[in-house]
Amino acid sequence: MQLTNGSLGLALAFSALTLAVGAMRTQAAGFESSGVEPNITRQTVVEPNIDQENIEITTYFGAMNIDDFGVNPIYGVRGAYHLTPAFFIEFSYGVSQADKTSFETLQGVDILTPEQRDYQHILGHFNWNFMPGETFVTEQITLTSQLYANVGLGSIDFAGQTESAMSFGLGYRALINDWLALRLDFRDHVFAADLFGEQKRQHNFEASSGFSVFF
Amino acid sequence: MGFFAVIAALLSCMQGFAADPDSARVDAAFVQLFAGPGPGYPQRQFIDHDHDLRFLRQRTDWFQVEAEDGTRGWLPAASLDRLRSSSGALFGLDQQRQQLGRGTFEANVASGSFGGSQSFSTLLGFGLSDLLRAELTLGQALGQFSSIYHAGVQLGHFGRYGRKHQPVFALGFGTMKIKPAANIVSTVDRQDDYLKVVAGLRRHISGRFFMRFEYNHYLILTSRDDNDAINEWKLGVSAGL
Repeated sequence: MQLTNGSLGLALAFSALTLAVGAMRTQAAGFESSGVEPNITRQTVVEPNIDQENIEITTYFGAMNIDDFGVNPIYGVRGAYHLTPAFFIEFSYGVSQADKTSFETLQGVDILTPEQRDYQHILGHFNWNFMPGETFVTEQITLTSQLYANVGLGSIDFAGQTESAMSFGLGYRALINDWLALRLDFRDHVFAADLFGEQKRQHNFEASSGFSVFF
Repeated sequence: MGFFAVIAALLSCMQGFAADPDSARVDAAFVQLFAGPGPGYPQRQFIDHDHDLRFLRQRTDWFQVEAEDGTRGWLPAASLDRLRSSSGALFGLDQQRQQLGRGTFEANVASGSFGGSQSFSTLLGFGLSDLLRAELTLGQALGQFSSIYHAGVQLGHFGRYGRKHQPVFALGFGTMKIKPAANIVSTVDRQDDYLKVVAGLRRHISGRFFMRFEYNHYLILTSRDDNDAINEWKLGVSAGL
């Protein structure tokens, strides 16, 4: 049999490849036999099996000054969602009823109908827990507490009109236990109204206390 | 055969629940417990290596735990990697909530200026895909002379710009009710349909929360000869549900 140049080259290349693969196999077998093996196992990650308690529902009662219409009782409900340890958003719904103005009392007239004296507000607040800490009630009783500041926007229904309002204030929360808290809130609700024919900025100052439940 | 497959699936589910633990062991030298759920509270105690903890509740990214001796305190999520479950698993938080992709709901509240009046609006969105969302909107604008209430639907496209930003472009339609102020004589409520185009930006803040800034252009289809156009600018906060 006579080999051509091309066939010879191909045969040499095949032989070289066979030798190279054989050498690699031997090398791999050498690694196997050395007993050094990476011992890597995938880590399992789990979440703690507990419920999140970021929602806080508050019922509150207090007093509010309706500009020109005296100080009146107010009650309502608030729903909050805690975004981070420092911030929470909250919606407030409050109802009250305006008393008579001094002019109405002295003159014996009614400026507003009974229905128009109904007051309600719906406000959304952004709150900042700027002073977390503890309140030392007695030597034995220590409550986890927070001071928070808030700004809010919303609407106020009063005297048959719906006005957009801005609100800001300060609050204090003391945790009685892990899910129940006592709250004190001081807020100023500012809006523009023309109840007496002239556009005027009204300040309704509200002071309230209530209990809130986390769940 | 099918029956056994169902039993096997149920058993695997039960094992899955069992593997989700409510107790842990300290794997690091120690962990610090705080008096409340936040970094501003005082640190109450240290729990040493190899001691057991039981999870009680979670508030934002903080966990209330109880030690073997009954003392309670709060632990930040950043300390979870110092704990191991009884099976040796690591603790962590589900990061999937940070993506508002297909099949996720988004709730949004926003406020801004609606043609010069203060506006408030809410939005509920659903991810049709990772980029397209169907959204239901409700809003009100309280002006000096009238109040406007509107409801509509829109289809939004959410692009990608870096890791945290998503440009928003949406088209929508709906209906709008215009109520003149009660102190204006001979008022008549009006209701018109509208078309709108939305452009904006959504930015991831933290966890499941996003900030959303939008420009809305409303074309109000009135019964008069000319249609009205109103511009709205608003800023809001979204949460992935």
